[in-house]
Amino acid sequence: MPVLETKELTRAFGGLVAVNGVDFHADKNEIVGLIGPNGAGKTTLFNVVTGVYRPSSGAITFMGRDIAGLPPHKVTSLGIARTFQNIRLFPNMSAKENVMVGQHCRTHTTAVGAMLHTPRAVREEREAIDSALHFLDYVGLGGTENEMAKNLPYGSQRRLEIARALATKPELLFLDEPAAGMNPQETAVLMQLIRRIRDENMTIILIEHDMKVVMGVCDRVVVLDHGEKISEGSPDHVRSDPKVIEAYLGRST
Amino acid sequence: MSEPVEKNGMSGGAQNGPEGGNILTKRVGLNRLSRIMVGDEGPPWARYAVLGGILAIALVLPYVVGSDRWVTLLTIVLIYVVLSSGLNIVVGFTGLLDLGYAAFYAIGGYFTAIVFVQLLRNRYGVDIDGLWWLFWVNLLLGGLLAAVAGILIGYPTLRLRGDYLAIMTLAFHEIIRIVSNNWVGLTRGPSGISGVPSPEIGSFSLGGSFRLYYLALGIAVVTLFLIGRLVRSRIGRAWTAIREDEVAAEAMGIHTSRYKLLSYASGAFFAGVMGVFLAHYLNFIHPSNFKLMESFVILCLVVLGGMGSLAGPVAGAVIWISVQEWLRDFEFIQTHPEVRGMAMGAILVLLMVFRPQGIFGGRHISLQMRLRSRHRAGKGEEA
Repeated sequence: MPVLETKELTRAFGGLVAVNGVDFHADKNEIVGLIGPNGAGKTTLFNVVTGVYRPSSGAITFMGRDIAGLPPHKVTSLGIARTFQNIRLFPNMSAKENVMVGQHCRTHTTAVGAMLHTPRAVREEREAIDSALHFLDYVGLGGTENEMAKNLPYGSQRRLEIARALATKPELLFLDEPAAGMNPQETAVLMQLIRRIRDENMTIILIEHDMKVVMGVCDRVVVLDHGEKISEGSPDHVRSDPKVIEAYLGRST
Repeated sequence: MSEPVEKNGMSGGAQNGPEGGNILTKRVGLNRLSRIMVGDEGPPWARYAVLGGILAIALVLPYVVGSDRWVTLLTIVLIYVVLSSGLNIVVGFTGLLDLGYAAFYAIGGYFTAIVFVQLLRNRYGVDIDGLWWLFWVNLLLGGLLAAVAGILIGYPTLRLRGDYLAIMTLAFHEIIRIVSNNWVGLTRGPSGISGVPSPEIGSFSLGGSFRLYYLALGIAVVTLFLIGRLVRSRIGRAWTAIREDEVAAEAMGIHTSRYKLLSYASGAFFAGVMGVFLAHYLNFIHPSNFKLMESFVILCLVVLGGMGSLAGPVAGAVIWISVQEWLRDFEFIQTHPEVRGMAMGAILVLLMVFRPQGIFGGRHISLQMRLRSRHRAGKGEEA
């Protein structure tokens, strides 16, 4: 059974059909690349699955459960985490606090518990801090936990977003252009990180324009153009698919 | 332990620009002081020393200033300390602009006045002098009622942000004020409700300016303690995340509507408590206690002191209210009272020019529980 499956998924904004009848799936421990020219509907597909937009029609099944139309916080607590194309950290919070916000839906302290410092609240907070530091280490940001997110260099901000997403303990991780703006070394480190996350029993779906990353880490690639799926298969298959070449470069006459 | 502390102190300037803090910050060390106060910097004893010092000053101050007028003034300062700290939850931490906060203050005040005078004494003829305990119950109930009102006004405003939200809270304040002025049967309208008894414990009266001051101090200390703990928990982190980026907060699994309502309710709770205190403090409640200007003044205190800091609203209230009263002593101000308002405006303008983040708003406060030993100041992990 696939971890995530969409059937005939459509999302229209007025007359513009951004995602048009897309059948899409991701299997357990798979790294799926989602590519396509600008405006192909990749990010919209992310936003529909993660609950930012409701689907106009079609079904979304996550681990056997229908999640179409659920609000984003609900989707996250079911086990789907994401990063954003244009970084959306909490700029005036420290790196550690950013990650701790990610743990929100896995912790349970109530307002009363927080005010009274009940033993449970104290224990939970201690564990939250420990695991926040662990996630920061994991993405290579150990030692920067007290830096304000806004003061971190660009590459670190991207990795902090991943750490924050991992802190929600997801089954499925959506990465929206994780390598955007990174230099070749940073990109290489990122690719290692993505493979490591997959090896921890996670499924990853990533949007990426950097073909080195797509060809390097993805098990399977899905190509969107004008909201429709035009090709799907192994990186090599997709690369040589005439329909994909046409979508990116235009038809030769 | 001292090494990471130094490092924190250094990076504290980052918010003010590369030169590391403006002149005012460097000279007075306000950022540093506020961080020591909340335990983000320095050893624990430094924090207890600073807090203990402030509390000791607050305890002896009435005997230093001596006169009833100044003790009354100090009590008013404490009322505003609680109000601005409560509003700071909504405006400073959650980032929701609220221009009608004094409405919750009014709800608390009218609640207890109506229960004591209108309902028990006038309607049922109960001897309210024997009901000293009801004041203490009402302190809590008034807060809870205001919290419910906070949720009621919060619910329809959930989708609104910025200007739209501000207008709606403003309108809510006007509803409460106009109702209090016109529902004569319930609130006695413009004549106000008099005869609200002074607080007592058994037969021990807490009336008189000195005892009322200590009661207000007690409420203020409890309020600050509770708000401090709320903010340094996953609740406070959720609020701050909503302020910083609501879409990202929602994507991280935070039920943003629920936490906004919780923020409104928590802020309103403390205003409601203070409203109950006010009614028993003045023995009288009147629509003019809750003019629109009240909401603006409380908001100004939060901005003056520094939004999203714990010490800020306290400092804002202490400075603003005492300066306002001190200015009355000048003959020129007595003959031209309108100048007083101008002076306060000028102070606010100057502050926004030279220290736009507010007096204590210079450094982000830590949003995690203070834990003993290795987790202190966050850096301890590798050490």
